[in-house]
Amino acid sequence: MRSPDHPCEILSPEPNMTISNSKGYILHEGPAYSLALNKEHTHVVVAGRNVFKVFLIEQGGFKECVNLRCGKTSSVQSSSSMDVAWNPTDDNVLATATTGGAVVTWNLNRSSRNKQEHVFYDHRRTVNKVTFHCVEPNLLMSGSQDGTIKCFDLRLKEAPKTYSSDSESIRDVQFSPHNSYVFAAASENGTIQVWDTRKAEKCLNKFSAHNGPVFSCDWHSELQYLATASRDKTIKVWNVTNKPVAEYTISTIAPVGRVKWRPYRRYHLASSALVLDSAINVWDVRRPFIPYASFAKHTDVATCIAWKGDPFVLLSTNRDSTLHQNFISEADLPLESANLQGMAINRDGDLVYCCPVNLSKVEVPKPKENSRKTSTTTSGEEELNTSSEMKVFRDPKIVTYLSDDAECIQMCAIQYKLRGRSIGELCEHNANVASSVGRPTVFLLWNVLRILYDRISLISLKEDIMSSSNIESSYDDDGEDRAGSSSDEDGLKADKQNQLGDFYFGDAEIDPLDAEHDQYDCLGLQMDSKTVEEDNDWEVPAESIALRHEISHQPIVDDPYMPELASVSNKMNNNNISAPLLRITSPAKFDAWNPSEIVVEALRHHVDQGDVQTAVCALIVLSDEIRNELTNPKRPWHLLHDEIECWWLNYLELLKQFKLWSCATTVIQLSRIRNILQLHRTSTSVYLSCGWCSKGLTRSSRHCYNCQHSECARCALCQRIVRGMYAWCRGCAHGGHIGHMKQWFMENKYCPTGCGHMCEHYILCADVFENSNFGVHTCVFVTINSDNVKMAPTMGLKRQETTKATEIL
Amino acid sequence: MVEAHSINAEHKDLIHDVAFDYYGERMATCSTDQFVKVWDQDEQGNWNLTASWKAHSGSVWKVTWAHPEFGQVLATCSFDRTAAIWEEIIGESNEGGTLLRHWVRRANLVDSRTSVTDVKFGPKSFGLILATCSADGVMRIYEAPDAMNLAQWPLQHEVSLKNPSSCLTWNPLLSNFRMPNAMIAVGSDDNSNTTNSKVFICEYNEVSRRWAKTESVASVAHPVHDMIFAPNMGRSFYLLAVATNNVRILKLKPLTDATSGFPYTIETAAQFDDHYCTVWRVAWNVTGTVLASSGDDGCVRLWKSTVDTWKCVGVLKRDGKLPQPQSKTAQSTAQNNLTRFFKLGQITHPSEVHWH
Repeated sequence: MRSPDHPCEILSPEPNMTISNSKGYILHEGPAYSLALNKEHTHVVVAGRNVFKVFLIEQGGFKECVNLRCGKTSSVQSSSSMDVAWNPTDDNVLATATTGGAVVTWNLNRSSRNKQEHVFYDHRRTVNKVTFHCVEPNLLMSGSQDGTIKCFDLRLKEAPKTYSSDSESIRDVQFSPHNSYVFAAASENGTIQVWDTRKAEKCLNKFSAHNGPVFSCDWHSELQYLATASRDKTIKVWNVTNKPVAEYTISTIAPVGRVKWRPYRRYHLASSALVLDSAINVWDVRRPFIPYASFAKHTDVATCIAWKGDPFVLLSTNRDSTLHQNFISEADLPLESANLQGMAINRDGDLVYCCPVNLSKVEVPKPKENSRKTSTTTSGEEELNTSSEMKVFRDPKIVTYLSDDAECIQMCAIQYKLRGRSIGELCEHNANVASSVGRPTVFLLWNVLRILYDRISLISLKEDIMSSSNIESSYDDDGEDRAGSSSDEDGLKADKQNQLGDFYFGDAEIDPLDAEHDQYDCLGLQMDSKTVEEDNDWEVPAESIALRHEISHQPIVDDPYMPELASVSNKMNNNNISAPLLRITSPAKFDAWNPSEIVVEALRHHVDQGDVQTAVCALIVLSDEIRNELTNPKRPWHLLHDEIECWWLNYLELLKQFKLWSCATTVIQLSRIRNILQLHRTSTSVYLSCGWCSKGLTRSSRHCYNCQHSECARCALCQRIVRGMYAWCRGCAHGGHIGHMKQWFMENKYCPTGCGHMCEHYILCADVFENSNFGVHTCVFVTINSDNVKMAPTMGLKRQETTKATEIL
Repeated sequence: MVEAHSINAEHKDLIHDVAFDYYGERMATCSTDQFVKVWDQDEQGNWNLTASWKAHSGSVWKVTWAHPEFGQVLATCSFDRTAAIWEEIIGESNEGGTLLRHWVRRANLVDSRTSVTDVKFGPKSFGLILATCSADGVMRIYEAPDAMNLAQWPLQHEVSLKNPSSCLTWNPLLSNFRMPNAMIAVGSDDNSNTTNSKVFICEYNEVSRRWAKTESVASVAHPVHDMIFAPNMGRSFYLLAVATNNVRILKLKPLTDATSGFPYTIETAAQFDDHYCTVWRVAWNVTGTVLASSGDDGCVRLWKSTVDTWKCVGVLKRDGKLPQPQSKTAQSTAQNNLTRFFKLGQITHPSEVHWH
């Protein structure tokens, strides 16, 4: 809201305001409870417990004119003033209300120091409010704690008219500016009474306005509006034309003590809190949620507020014994600085954008706001800009830059092959994937990797370069045979093997990389001195080696003093598993030209371009040997292990964001990084509960120690004990054979046991069959072995479990 | 032609923020009408309102989602000087078989003495941690020691920045690599001067166990309205998008040899003045390769990085129409208006002016 008030401050009566009055004028006698301005708005009188003074209002400050609390102190004078009023026509006449129940009038024209004119002792309890009639200068009205309102005629100095309300006490009395016989009274029981001064016996109208004491009310100068402020933290604006209707309700954060309409502004009013909130707020009643302007610099709550006759200056007395002039130009305009636009992009590249509906209009300032002259009738109130529009952009053409990325990542994550083939084949496949999703640079990178590291090409390279005998050649045929027969079946088999291996992996599995690395460190660059055995140890391609086997061999191979065993293992590997992907037996190759630097550079480049996927996938596909070379600390450009780990974490985060759980699992499994592999082993417990008593199964057993049943896993349908896979509802703990459950929940929603629970099976089974991306949040399928209830399904294992489950079905 | 799907948000006043959850399948909006609304996407991609409640007794400035690992948790901050934590409760199904969902307030953070202008959850690896900043320039860090108990959010740290703060953003770090300390950037919308820095970097010091302001970015001197770190994605540097009088992309590069002090160099990677007006919002896509910015011109502009350079790849207009005839003309008309105002200002007695 480019506020209209900003430009018009230039026109405000204090254009050259230079003196900062943020601290205000300090009343040394203590806080004032009330203040009133004279007709011309040049002077202000403040009254409080110990203070009663008249000040001249100056630019940026106040100058004391008269101290009315001086001279001989009568009991009336020394009692504290609750309220003060300035006669609207006679500038010399003041009236105060005292806690003692007296209403006192003062005349500034008196020559003596004591300006007291007359005291009315008519109220029995504290007088909360005095006010002069707008046009009849001799009519003074008072409202008291004793529940009466009295109207004094200053000329008569005698028993006044009394308007007796049946409520407890009157907090505020205000003459209507529209009808000289009408006044409104606010009372502590939350009602507002509208009286006719001529009818003292009964009020015209009485309505319950608030759920708490009403502390203040104020008539709108032009409309038939009455604003009321209450302890119930609301300000209400009542249209009292006919039957009072709450036209606007402003809810604030603290009990409201005072309310005053802003002159020349149809919809603005100022309010101050009774406690808690030291800010003085100016509200646009049509926007009841947030103040239009806020004077937030005060250190304590305001006790009384009054506009200085124009809409730009608000005087206030505060409980911290200060008197302030608050300039609208210095106020905080909360909506002015607020962010009116919202924008967010989600992972799929949908962009949602919110902005004010008439955004362009708000920038056009409204000149009519400036003319102070214009009366309220034309006081062009700014149109409120109170609605935002919200749009979601997901057009494939234009937003393609946003969705493009997301799609690519998903496609690649799903289609990339990361294991089960030779480097060359993997690279070729992945290159094709990359080109199919429109990433030429990634396509190139994969091709470059293929050319650099493909076994075939390396071998030919080697054959050219080296004359020495090479073990590799002995595997060559084998490998090529394999390559010839390598088909999807093969890959599947390998996958399966791997899955089994993963499923039971033990502690040692995370070790190989480090072991190798240490070894590598020891060896340094003396690769030529490497023995066959060591070589053998290095051939851990991402291929179809079940890790379990490798683990069992590794310690043996690691030990240089057991060459025999090593060679045995070597043979085993040779027989069972395909040929190693890469055999770096020639240091000369590195010396001649080491592609690693370029590869590292390329990977880093891709990462810096925001494509961490390519880098991680490339590292997965590259064999350990290559990776070790890339991370060789002797090289100045080497990749740091932390760096790789960081890439991995970022990529995993990305996959999880796309809910590609199985891809994430694969990436973790193939990471060969200790910290990453550990991710598989965190929070792996699923807690089951007994199907009979639904208490938790505490021990690693299917025997329930609570109800002494040992048949917790009974199928709800066939009533037999389930062996193997078991579908289980987390809500009611009932379940059964997966097949049975599936059948049941094809047609039913509720638990087959009749317990009335709408089982989550319904959702979960649907999940399994329709959505291959079975999420982490819903883990149901756990195997109940004879002695192991508490299982270890990591994210990945769960995935396998579900796969198995679907297979079974 | 861009097809923009309009959503009738039915907020009774201006919307201040919209946020997607981690998976981008839920959306939360907040408004001056003190309400927060949650929207869920159905299979057809339509957004359906699933919850709406009065969250504060003042304008709700920002809304943000916690990582789903902690449940369905929202944080909001408001003009009423509080921030609040909300959790979605899924009740037992009712008769119709649909799940009853409702949001309950778990905690109310009442430490600020002024309007709380921004609230953001920290990276997941820190657990449930929350940063707020307020109009009096204090950044606060809250932490829920027990992720299962969202009612406890003890105030952990307070950093006074002495500048009215408007926005903050966590550096989304996933590992300690190149980034030893947790980092938050706080922006200030102080418009009293255009010389002081408006972007502050705060870091957590592991040794002293305190948060402290470690750097202020001198190059940004205009009021800052929004800031966001790009997802790191393993990059060797950090990208911080800043919405100020124009769009900036700051690049924080770790210094390898810095032993003490602020171990980053901050450079402006890009700066776009195409909006020709105040920029209010910036947002990154999921990998931090595309930046979207929106400004008073009512357009969303998309910026894409190619190697070391950024270029505009699209402009989304909110109504399909051309935006302001030309941004430059809009600018000049605004200036005309301004000139008029200065003229008016010289009239000593405004009451004598007779135009309406």
